[in-house]
Amino acid sequence: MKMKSFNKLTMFLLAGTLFLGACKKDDPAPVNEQEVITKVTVNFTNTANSSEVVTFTYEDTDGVGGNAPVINNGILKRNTSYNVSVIVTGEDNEDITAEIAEEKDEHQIYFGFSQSNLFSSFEYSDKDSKNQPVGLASRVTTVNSSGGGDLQLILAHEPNKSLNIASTPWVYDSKIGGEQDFNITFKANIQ
Amino acid sequence: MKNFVFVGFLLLINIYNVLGQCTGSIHGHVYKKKGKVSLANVVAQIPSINLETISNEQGEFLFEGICEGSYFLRVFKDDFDTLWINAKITNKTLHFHQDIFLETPQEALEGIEVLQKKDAPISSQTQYYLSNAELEASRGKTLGEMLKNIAGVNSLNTGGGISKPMIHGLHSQRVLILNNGVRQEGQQWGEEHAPEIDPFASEQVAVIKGAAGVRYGSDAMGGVVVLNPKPLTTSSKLSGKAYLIGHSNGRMGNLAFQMQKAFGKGWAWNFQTSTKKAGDFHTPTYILSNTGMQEFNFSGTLGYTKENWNIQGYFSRFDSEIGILRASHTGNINDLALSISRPQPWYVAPFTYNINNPRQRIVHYLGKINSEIKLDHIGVLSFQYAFQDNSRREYDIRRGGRSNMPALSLVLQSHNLEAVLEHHAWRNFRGSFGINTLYQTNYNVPETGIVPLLPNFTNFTQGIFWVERFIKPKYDLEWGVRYDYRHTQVRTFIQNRTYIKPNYQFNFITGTIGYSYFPNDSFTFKTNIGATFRPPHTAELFSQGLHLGIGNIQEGLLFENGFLNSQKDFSIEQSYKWVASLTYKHKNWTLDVHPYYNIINNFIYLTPTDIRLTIRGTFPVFNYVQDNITMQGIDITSIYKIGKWGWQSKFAYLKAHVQASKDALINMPPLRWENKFFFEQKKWKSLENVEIFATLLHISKQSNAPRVISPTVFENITSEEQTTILAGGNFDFMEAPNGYTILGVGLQASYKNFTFSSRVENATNLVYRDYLNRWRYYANDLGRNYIFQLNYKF
Repeated sequence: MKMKSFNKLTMFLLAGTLFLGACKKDDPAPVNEQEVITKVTVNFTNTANSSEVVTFTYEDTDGVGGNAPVINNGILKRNTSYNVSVIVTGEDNEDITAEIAEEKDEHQIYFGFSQSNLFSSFEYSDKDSKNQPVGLASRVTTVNSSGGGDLQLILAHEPNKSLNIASTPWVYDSKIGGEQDFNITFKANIQ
Repeated sequence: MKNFVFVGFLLLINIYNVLGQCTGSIHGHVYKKKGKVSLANVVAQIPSINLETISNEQGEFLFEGICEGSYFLRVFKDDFDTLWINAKITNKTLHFHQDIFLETPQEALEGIEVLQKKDAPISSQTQYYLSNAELEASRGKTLGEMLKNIAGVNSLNTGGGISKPMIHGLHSQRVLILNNGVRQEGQQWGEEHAPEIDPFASEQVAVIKGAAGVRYGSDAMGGVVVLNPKPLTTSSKLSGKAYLIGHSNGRMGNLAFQMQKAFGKGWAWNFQTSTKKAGDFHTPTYILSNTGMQEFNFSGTLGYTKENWNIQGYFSRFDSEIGILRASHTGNINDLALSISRPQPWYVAPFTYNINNPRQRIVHYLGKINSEIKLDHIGVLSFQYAFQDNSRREYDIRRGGRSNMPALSLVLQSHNLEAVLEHHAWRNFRGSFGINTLYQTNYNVPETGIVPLLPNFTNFTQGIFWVERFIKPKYDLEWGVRYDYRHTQVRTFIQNRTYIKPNYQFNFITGTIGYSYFPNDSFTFKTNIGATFRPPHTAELFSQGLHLGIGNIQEGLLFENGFLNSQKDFSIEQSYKWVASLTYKHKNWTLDVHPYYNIINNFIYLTPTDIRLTIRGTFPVFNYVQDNITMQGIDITSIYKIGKWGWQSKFAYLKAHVQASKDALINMPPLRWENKFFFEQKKWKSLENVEIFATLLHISKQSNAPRVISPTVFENITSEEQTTILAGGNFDFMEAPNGYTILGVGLQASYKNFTFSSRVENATNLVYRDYLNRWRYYANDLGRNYIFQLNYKF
């Protein structure tokens, strides 16, 4: 009797070890990142001449990896009005701009620049459903002197737009919160 | 005269023998229960036929020429409890044998107090038990919070819902949790991954602070948390317990019950379930939005016991959903800088029970079957097979309607097989041999749309061990050795989407040596040195990713400048831990002093190695690196009683640093000193066990913390600044929070089958931050909390 139950136990344990081999998973497939932003393109279109487009690009294909981002800075004309559009792209040229436009209430692109060295005026040209800015489209006027300065763009996800500064809604203030999906800085020259 | 009668009987028996009537025999081997050492000069009697003998030097006695029938044996010796044993002699089983364990009345008493205190796997290490009162009082809390009752044990917290046990500054893959005899296999590597365990399922909670790697393998290098359910009952009456607990902070409710019953011949079952629901916790001044949690767990055992063997099947399911503080979800280091500068989190909403993203959802199954076979003269042979399935899904705030897709989805399946022979004393030697096998697969469920943080892998470990003791009445010597073989295969992709399947093999030996000295009842001294080798976990080798919430990029040991090199050299971690415990009991005073010294060579930890510009902003890069470190500390526990009044004090201090650079290590527990003053009254009117108490917990500021580099410096950092920062070794983004002292008060009483208790934690509603809480960058710690607890026993 004792021996019999012992055998049963051995059988069970053996069954357990057989099971070990049975659950090996297949080789995994590489993941296509759906969400990672790899490239930001900023187009400045002269309002007086729509064929005159100045393009800035910021490309970082490996995300957090060890390759440094590739940055292309443009040269803007002094005392000129531009329509600014921001195009956001993901892996395999995925169009993330459309996603941002679709979730415009939860997104805003904030701009950092000097009003004395870069843009003398800035206004958003797009609005979300609550009449708050989004930032995919905007209009700027460059200062009337050559030189230029840093141009920072921050895409905030789920910011509290109601806390935007009324006079300068493009400035990212710490109270606004949310997460920064991108935070990039160009060197904008003015000639 | 007695001898004469005895000889007479022998003669009589001989006559029977000659006639061929009675050829049965009864043989016993008597051991002292504590220590399982053979006992000589034990009297064995069969009163019904007037036989008597005594055990020899080897502890054995024999009656021969016994006729068929049923006999009651009386086995006794001075200072031990008398035992009655039923022996049956039939024509099938003419020779009856039994191993008999005698215990002293004192041991029997101790056994009642905290179930049966099991022998520590390594006897020269003290097993620190939570007392029944401590266990009951911490019902409803997380395992990590519960274990803080033991000096030297802390928890690394992520808010109020996630807490990881930390023993002498070590945690995660360096501390083993032994849940119902099974090594817990979850995603321990993550600092924000709490153990997937329902504390309500444990009736016995203990911590071994020494290195128990010899018995359990490499992850027991820092210590072991031992959790045991109630043993199966032998009573056929249904019995059980129920709990109803409410916490004001988080408006948390707990409901739990447990019951058990024996049935048939040798069968028994038990069942236990618990549920928890909490909404947003709060600090003294604001709500911690999205910190709710819910849990639903159950477990059950079915067992069958015969005289010489038993078998049990156990099954449990753990299911938990935990909200992560909304404001701690940061996109880059600027977010972190802003969080540190804000007086309160940027996102504070009204209280809710809803759990939104970011959140974690964990389901853990454990099934096991184990059996014990008592082998006469030899010892106890036990087998165990356990299967665990751990599923972890983490949800982030995502774009494009992807918030319902987990950002991390891992399934870890583990099979454990163990066979151990614990042999009875042979001369003065007692010990155990065993083998254990672990096979596990970690699998990323392809539903995330994100490159996994941790790759797929399979892991096979085979260990074999031997622990032996030399036992003398006043001292024990102990030694043990273990050999492990581990094979790990990782399946992942490198930068250009090339598929690689690197293999790693490790062979390592673990050893321990210990000494215990117990000259009298009031003094015990134990000391032990354990050498434990630990190969790196796959996460420590291969993980790469942006750590949301901590604002840094973390990279495994195999990364060089952000690129994976699966051939890169690395070493096995080698830990040498010395522990000693001096326990002194005198009348009303119990004192336990526990110093330790731990050297870990090739210790794997995160340190800043680079500052990297990405499209999300500039990030410091923290790489896993290896250095030799030293950790030393002392734990002291003292309980003093005068009449009905008592004072319990627990003190713990640890100092840790990197040997070469003298740098401090991050997230090491600061000095902790906890005091409890109580008044107990066994009976007051119709109430029993009335207790009123106050607790005072002091945590000092961690003065031995890494230097501080504010996250604001990274935004427009120059290359010279980068070089300076990286040359200075480890840093933290924020200064260690100030020390604090919090007050708690409470009372408790029993009435018939009910026990009621009420407590206030953080009674003064103190605003503080704790160094071991990973949310210290974002928010204050928890405010005042009223707890009401009602238990019912049947």
